[in-house]
Amino acid sequence: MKQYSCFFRKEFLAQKRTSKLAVMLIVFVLLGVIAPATAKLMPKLFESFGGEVSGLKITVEEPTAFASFQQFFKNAAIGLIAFAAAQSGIFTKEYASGTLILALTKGMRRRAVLVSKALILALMWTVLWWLSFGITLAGTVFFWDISVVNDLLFAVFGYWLFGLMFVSLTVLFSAVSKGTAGVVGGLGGVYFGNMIAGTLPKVGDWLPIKLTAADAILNGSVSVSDCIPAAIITGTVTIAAFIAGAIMFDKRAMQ
Amino acid sequence: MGILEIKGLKKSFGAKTVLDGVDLDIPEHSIFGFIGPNGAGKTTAMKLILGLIKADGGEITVAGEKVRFGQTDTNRHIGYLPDVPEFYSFMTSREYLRFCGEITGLEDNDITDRTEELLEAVGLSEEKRRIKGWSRGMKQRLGIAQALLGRPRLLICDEPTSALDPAGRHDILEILRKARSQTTVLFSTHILSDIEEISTDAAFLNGGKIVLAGSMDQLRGGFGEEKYRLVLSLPEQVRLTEEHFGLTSSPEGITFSEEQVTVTELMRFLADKGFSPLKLERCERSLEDIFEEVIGA
Repeated sequence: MKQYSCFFRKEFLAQKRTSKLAVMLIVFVLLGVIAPATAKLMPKLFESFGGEVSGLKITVEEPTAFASFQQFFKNAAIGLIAFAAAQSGIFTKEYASGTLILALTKGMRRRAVLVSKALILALMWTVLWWLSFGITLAGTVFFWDISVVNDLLFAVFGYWLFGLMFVSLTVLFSAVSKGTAGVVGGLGGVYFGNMIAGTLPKVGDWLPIKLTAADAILNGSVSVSDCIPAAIITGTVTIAAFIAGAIMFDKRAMQ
Repeated sequence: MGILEIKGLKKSFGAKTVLDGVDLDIPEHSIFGFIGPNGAGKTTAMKLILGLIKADGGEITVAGEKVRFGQTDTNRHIGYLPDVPEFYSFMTSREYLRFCGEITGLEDNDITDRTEELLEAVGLSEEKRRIKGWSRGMKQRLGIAQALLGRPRLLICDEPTSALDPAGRHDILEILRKARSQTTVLFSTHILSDIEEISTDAAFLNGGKIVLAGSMDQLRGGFGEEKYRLVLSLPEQVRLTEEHFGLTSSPEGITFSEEQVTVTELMRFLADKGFSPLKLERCERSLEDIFEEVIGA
């Protein structure tokens, strides 16, 4: 048990002292602030252009809470990609530098390493995501009535689960890849594969990426029950990827 | 039984056989030098001992326990210094040693005491900066400190002196020599003078096998005839001596064995002729001679 806590504290210290924590906080806080700010300021922006763009008269409706959350989910991908970019090397950088070997040769259990890293990623993703949403929610409630928005909590939860799946996939790809490029390639491949396959009519309903269809969820065109298959698949992939990652990591030669 | 026993160790990477049946027995409290040319398999052997990679055959025992790949139980007896030690550069030396101590399950007080003791011993007690800006030599010294933290029974060092300047090399060798009272030291190197300076025992690895192993006395003494060297002041004296005994000289002097001429005979000849030698010495067979003979270079 001491090994788990010791390695986890090391991971947290690393995030802090390499400024990853600070940068991620800034990114996610900004995303949280920008959503209601953009929604609120958009009409004023158009007004300042004289209400015209290229000779076309544009009337922008008075924004609602919907616009704020719409903006939030539009920008969410930026947060996820920034998070993945910052953290994709969490295992592979240690392979390359040899720091992990020293810990293992001292008797650190491989399982403790894997669980600590997975846990710090999961915790950071969770805190950052819900913090960002919390800021958007506070800003939105301040300006508008949010009762017009359907199934808000589910939409936020769904996207969080989608991100958690990528945390689990990071563990799996890190266990089998030689370097960071392999992890990034794997995560990118899954993301874009989802996007492309998601355009196919029947397949799309089962893919994890359905959980990111926030627009449709919020305006009621997609219900919570419509998303249950995708949520189950996402949850299953998350658990399976973690278990597979743990097995592969145990077998990995540490050179 | 030694602290480390290796029987029939085999390892290949793809088509390349690196270790082809290695046998080794390391006595406790020895300083064991592990020599071989680059690519001979010294680092591979160490990684197998540490359970970092899987052997293709053979058995390794540390303090009577079998080493198993992927399990780190036997590593609690071992302190390891890799050839390019890298630490978490965002930590200070004390933070890093605390981290190491916690992994090995040492008590907090013990970690604090041991940390100060070892940093003092390796000359790093004044250094408070984070590891990020440290020189190679400083990292090497911290490497030994972390390796000795848990009072291991076996200290394994992979090329501990390569890429250090002469002063740095000397410091590291001194630290290793002093460590002998607390532990057994196994270190690999291709610098023969390191072995000559501090080792009590050595083994030569070549072609995937141990081609020679034993104590330093055995290694030096066990090779054929003893040789002597005579240095005379005048070329004329050299020529006459050569002719008389059928010897040949080199810029270093006249080298001969007792089979060619006994020392007593030679001294009698020199006394008769009135030649005063500048030097008459028994040649300590150098490791380099043995190495070259064994490698066949």
